[in-house]
Amino acid sequence: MGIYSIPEDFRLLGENIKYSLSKYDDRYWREHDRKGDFPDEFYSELARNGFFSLNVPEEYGGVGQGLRAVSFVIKEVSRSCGMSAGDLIMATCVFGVQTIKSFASKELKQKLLPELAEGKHIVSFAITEPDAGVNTPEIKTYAEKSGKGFVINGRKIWTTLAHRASLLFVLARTKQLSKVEKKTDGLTVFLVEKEKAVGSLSISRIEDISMRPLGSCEVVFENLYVPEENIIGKIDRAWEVLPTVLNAERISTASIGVGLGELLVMKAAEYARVRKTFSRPIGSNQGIQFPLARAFSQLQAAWAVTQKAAWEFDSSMDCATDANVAAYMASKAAFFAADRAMQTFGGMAYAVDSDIERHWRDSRLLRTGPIPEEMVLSFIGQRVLALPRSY
Amino acid sequence: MDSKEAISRLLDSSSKFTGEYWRKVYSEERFPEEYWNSISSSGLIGFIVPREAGGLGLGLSDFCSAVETTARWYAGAASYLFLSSCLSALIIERLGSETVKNFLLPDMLSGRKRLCIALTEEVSGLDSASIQTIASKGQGSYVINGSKMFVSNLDKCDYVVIFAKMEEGITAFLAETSNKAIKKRKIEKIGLEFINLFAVDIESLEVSHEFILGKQGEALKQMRDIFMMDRLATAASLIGTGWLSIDTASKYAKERVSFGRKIGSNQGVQFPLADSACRLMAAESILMKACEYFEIDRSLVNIALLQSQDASSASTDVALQTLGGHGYLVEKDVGRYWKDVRAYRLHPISEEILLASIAWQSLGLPRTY
Repeated sequence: MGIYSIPEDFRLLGENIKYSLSKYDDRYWREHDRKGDFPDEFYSELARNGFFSLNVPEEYGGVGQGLRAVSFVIKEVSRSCGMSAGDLIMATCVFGVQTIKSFASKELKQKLLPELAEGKHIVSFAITEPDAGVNTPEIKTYAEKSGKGFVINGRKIWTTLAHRASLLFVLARTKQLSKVEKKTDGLTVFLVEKEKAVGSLSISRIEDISMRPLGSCEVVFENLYVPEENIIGKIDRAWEVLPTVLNAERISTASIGVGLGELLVMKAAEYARVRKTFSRPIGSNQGIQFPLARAFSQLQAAWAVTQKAAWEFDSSMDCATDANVAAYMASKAAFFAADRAMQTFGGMAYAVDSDIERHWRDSRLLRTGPIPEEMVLSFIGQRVLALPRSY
Repeated sequence: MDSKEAISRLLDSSSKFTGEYWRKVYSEERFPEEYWNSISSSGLIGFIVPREAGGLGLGLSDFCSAVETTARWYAGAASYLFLSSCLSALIIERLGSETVKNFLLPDMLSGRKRLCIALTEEVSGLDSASIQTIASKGQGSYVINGSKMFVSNLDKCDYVVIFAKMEEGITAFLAETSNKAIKKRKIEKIGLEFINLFAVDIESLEVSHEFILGKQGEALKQMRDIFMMDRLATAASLIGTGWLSIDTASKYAKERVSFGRKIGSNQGVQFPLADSACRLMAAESILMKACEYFEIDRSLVNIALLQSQDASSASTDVALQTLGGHGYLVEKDVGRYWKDVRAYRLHPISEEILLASIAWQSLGLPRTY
């Protein structure tokens, strides 16, 4: 089977997604966006339909698929329900299942993978800090050895779903930056099981403009104790964990971008077929239809490179270049699609009930997070074109 | 020969044709005989012709990779010679009568004979179904009258495929280019200096029955597959030329120092180069996907070509900008890539037709042409 083929069982999955998620319509997401409410019914529906067991290994009761399947599902769900829905699958299947199955101890796998598969957890991954941004090695959150575990102190920001998560992964320094040879050394990933947390963990929502049903938070750790068996990967060696998690995240957000972009192009095309001005459908004007065709083509190209990156990921090949290219191309294509949808809907796009503004706000996020365009371009400039570092 | 071997043989046989060679070809505005002899004598013209017909029997993805490879290795848009020769051989293999196949195919595969296509006309443009050249039944043969435009390298080819209208529909005829009934006139153009373009007048050209390619009246339908392959191979050629531009510009940006630092360390220079690289990689992926899906879903062909046009246009423009004033120097080559690639937003199919087809076929919007 080729890199780009979609296996037959994926196609069936796609049909199942359309069918089972159809009741979570525009109105549902619009309301949850307005109030910033977590889509509980939707999450249970996903769990009931077995979406979270997709990439759980068979020995832990899952379907045993890889990232190709997950990225396909993320795209299809985003195409049906928008960005928050796709991001939610990423949180559980990538941050949760992928991280645990690749890097956690056998005990944690045995306990958590079946629970994750059943949708018993909501997952969050805390990396970014107020003073570090994308410059991850400069994070200040510190985990100090204490008895048979560690005590964490520090602050994280823009942590999606932290307020609802039962499993919170945290990146912390376990050696000061000044004391390590390579600045990426001395970092460790910890898993905080919120129910068992000892010490203080305060989480506050940030009033924001994208993915409002999921919510983004500021998280403050004050003497939060984590047992050493909750170290993910090895102590001081987070850099063996992060590339896998972050590449999978980029492939996933690229899939969200493609799904969201397709949703918008199709919505705009449908409107352009129906809406008449000067006594003909606006879609028969090349000025309206050409940009939509261009947006659609860009999305297909972005999806192809996403599929390639996911295939490389599943084949344990180096996927960093393609994962970055996918995230970059998909985010640009998604935002272009959103912008053209705005233009196609004209004044109607400014009505909240048209849902275009919500998708437009959401799609804009992909150009800055999880990785800003500028960081991808620097990465490609250095890695592919061998140009000097520019910052 | 497997695909890896074939591609490395292609690289070997084109290795000595670097920027300097192509600069000379362009300044002399001539057919790159040496390059062509080198690849044809390596047995590569049969790249996609089935093995039982004497070809290498390789697939479409491999073919596109090969085209991209030779384009990126300095040939740029001149990779057209390789791709069009391979496709011409496939036309003869698929549609030639036994007689035609027997006398022509071995010579085409070995590089002794070349073929060109006369389809487009002054008025028809991209609307091939509207051509006016006529073939009428004479005694034991057919007589063709009409005129054609944009015939590439007619002076360097031995045979020409002429598309003409009949009662049955559009039919393809094979004729010798030396036939006195074919009168050619060279057209002056900008760019693509390795090609000579001709306008052709055809006056009472007689063609015998066995020189009809395929079925009478079904030429456009029967060649559709090959035209689609041509779009994909053109996309590969554009991506290769895009990379050639970005490779050249990146090398320059690493060496050139201005205001005391390498210009490549300026984000204003580096980011557009990286952006082009991203577009080329995405275009490569959709091209490979379109090849993989060729038998299942043809809608990806136009999308792949559109994305390659976009990516290569951006790449050649960024390369020119990176070189600054040097971009306008013939010896720096990027100006040539820029001028050549621009032609492929018009040909073999224009950007506007691609967009209109995608809007119509993939988005269900009204047909606008």
